[in-house]
Amino acid sequence: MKKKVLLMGKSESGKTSMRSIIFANYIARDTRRLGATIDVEHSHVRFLGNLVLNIWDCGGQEAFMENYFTSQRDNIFRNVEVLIYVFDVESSELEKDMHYYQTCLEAILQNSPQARIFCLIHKMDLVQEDQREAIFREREEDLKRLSRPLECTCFRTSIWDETLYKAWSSIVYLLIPNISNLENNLKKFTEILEADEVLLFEKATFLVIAHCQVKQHHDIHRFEKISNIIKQFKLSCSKMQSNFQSMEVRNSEFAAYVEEFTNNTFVMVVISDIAIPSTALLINIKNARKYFDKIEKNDLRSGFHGE
Amino acid sequence: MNDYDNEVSSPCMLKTKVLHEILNEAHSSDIVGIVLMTLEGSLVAYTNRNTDEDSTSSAAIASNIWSSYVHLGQMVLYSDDLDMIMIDGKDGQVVISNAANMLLCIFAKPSAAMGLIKAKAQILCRHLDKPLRSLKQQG
Repeated sequence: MKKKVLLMGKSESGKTSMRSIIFANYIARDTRRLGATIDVEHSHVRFLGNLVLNIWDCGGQEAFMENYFTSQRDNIFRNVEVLIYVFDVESSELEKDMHYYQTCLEAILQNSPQARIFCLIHKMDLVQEDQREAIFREREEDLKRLSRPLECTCFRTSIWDETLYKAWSSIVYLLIPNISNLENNLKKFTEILEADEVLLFEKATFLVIAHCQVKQHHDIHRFEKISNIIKQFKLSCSKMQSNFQSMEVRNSEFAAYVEEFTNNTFVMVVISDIAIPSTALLINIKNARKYFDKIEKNDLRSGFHGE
Repeated sequence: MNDYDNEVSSPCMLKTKVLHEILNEAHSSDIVGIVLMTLEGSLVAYTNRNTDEDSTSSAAIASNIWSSYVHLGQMVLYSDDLDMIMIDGKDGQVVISNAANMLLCIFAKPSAAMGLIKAKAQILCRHLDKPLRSLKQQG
């Protein structure tokens, strides 16, 4: 099952770096090596096993962009599920950026009016911390206004922190077939375990694809932070020629377990009742594994038939 | 047309709070702790009235004793069908029994009546055997 994702934006806005970090196991530092993307780079990324994200990383240099809107227009903008438009927050040509964005939207409106639109205000690390929220809100307002009648969801991102994961998690979440079925099952699982919270990560990217929360938590950014931390850890493990399989973190307030779950996911279980022995929980996770495996297989297959 | 080749049957899972309650019920003034563990000695559930002691080490020692006697039985009696171990010590009494490939261990004060502890162990094991067995099969 293929889903087409367009990644567009001006030259040097950070599209290829983002893609490399999320899908190709680059760490932020490695992206310095990347050069300008020539024309359109197609990458097929396997996500959750059977789902193939067809990412069109469109080179942002002016010559290419002109091309997209003329001769390649139908080819590029047809059958798009998701359009991700990247804006460099430090850009000195705001007018021009908006102009290109609007041209993209017109093409989308004509060829793929059902597509979901995401705007990433990128390179936020270059903005002073106390100004970030204000600048983001300002841009978001402008973009929402300009995008009408289409709706866009905006995120502020940087490859140097967890905000990148938040944006991409939300984007990818929309592409997962039968997500509500998965979430319902996850809820039942959480209840039986008597856990505070259960997260499901996609295996390769470590993006959070589903979660069930029973107890309130003060940090709303914890998902992306955890994605970031575990992904980095996983990458360092592979650099040592070993595969990350599981993790148990314990202190006086909680116990958290990260375990390989189905073929395509990892699960994280957080429990504040530390008196419950690990083994009991691990037995439960093991037994639920087969069940979720079957769900995943059925979901992906029925999603395919549904196309 | 939906074509599922496997029936998606519900998984068998452990309710830790309920298990804890069951172990709690078997307690009396003479009993110091009750532990349910895997054959390797990992704690699955426990109740411990003696807060100084750590159930983890007791469990590890108990499972070690169990496997030693199983091994001994294999060598001497040509049978690995160990049913129960009862230890009558100066500072306390221990009964170790088997429930569906998990070990149940009851720790009691020296003043406790061994017969009573043995009976409790047998009842608990009988009670837990079927559910724990269905739990194992899922793996």
